Amino acid sequence: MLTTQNLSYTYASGTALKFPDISLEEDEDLLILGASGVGKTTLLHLMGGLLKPDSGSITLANQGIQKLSQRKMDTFRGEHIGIVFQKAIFIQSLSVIDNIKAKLFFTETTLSTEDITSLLTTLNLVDKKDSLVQKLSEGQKQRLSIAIALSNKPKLILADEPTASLDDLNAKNVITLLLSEARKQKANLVVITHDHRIKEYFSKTIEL
Amino acid sequence: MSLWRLAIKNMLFKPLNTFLSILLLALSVALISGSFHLKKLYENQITANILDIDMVIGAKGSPLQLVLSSVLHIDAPTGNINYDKAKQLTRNVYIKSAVPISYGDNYKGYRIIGSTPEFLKVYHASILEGQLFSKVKELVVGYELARQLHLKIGDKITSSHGLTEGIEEHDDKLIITGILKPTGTIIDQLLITPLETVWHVHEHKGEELEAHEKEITAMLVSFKNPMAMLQMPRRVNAVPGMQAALPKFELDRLYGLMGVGFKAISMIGLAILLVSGLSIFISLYRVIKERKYEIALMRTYGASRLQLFIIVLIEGFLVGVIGVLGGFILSKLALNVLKNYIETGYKLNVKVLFLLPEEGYVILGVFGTIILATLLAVIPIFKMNVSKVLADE
Repeated sequence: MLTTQNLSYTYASGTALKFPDISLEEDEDLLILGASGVGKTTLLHLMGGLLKPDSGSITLANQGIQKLSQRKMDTFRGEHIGIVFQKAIFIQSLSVIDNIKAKLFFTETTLSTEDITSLLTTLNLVDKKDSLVQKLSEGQKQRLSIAIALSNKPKLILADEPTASLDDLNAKNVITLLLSEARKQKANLVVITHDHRIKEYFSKTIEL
Repeated sequence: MSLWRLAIKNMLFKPLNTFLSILLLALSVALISGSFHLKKLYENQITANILDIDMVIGAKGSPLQLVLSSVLHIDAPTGNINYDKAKQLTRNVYIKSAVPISYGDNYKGYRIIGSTPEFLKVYHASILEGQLFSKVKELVVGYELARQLHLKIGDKITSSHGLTEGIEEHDDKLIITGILKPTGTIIDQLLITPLETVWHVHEHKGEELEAHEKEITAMLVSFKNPMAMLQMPRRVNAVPGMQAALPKFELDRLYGLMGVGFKAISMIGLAILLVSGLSIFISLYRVIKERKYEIALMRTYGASRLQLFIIVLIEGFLVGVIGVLGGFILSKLALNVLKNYIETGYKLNVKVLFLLPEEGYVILGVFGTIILATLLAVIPIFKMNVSKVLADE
């Protein structure tokens, strides 16, 4: 359950943005389409609590997150929101499996080794689990960041241009994977992109 | 997963950075703690050896040389003085004891001191095994010397003329009658024989010396009361060819000169500590800049800024611990090399202490520096705008 109302944000440069309201039921997903520079990433950061809106409200799991203090927001985000970034970021010094464990550590979630392994198996990464993240291919990195985002079973999965750098086949694989995992975990998936190829997979779409 | 594991993984991920920080730190710790140890060694050496010697009477010359030769036994003597005259001078109420010493010979570079049994009392030495010399050509041997040269009671040795090894050997054999207990002073490295042995060895063709011809190298004097410090030197210096030297005064003067050296070493150490603090700061700061995306990422996982600060602090702390330990080990190794050199070169026995209280300050200084460097380096973490970092990439 995600709702936003009357969201607006003003950049340091003075440019002000207003965003359309969003309302998602428990098993609904959303595609937000927009060209570069219309504030897609800003909206994603607002929903992820990385930015505070100037006005309006964002409600997730019955919590108005715009009201949370920085520290509480960090904890809340860790617990309820998983973010897949456009370019996959990891803790470079850790292996694939340790990156997942680090996420679990900071979100104070426990997940059995079998569950981690089965997650990695689903994402076709299980034979890479002990490699350093920098040794992964682009596709593997993208799948690992999905695995990390899913690992602590968040209520909301935010994905920023998850398919931008992928070819048609991989784009399709990634998006179906995100959708099916979101469904499995009963989470809302919000994808923000300029990539019209993936429009057909979503029943709900907003254009910025 | 834990903050410790993350910190250790980070350190191992950039081993060269980590190694350089540790090396610099270890070097500075080694220099600073080494200079403390050297200073302590020097002070111990001096205080142990001048314990009961308030004044030395010897031939005119440099008073420092007189003290070095007849108290620490490391320099050439200034010359000889008449034994009778020295005895007369020291026969008064101010004097607690006056012990004559006479040089002449050495055994394998170790000095043979002609003296009286009172010489042992000056250094609080006593017999470990065997007995004290009772007649001419008998010897007692210091503990360390006996150990190093494997000397036993009953051994007969041949002395060489002068104070350096092997110039010209005397025909007369000297016999060892006793070995002394270890004292930690210079006596551990000496051979002691009656005065008569030295005179006898140097008598010309068997002619016995007349009493007034008997000479000694120096008289080690201990005072009954401090007033003597004012009276006695003046009285001695009035005698032609004689001088009085006060070991404490002369060695303090020497220490004033050496002190500059110790200070220079610790200053260099301190400078390197500053450089190492700076290097730790720069390396942590650079690593934090490099890691800004993953730091932002951990923030999105719910990591608090405090947790991220602790990771960096652990990295600094580990560098500190390894650096300090490495530095102590380095300084001990260097001191032991130096110890061997001093022991063989100067025939002094040196004790390297394990840890000095001053080294506590070194540890405090190091960790103070590290905490400061860490605090400065983590400022970007606290100022980080997570959204901006993640949107920028």
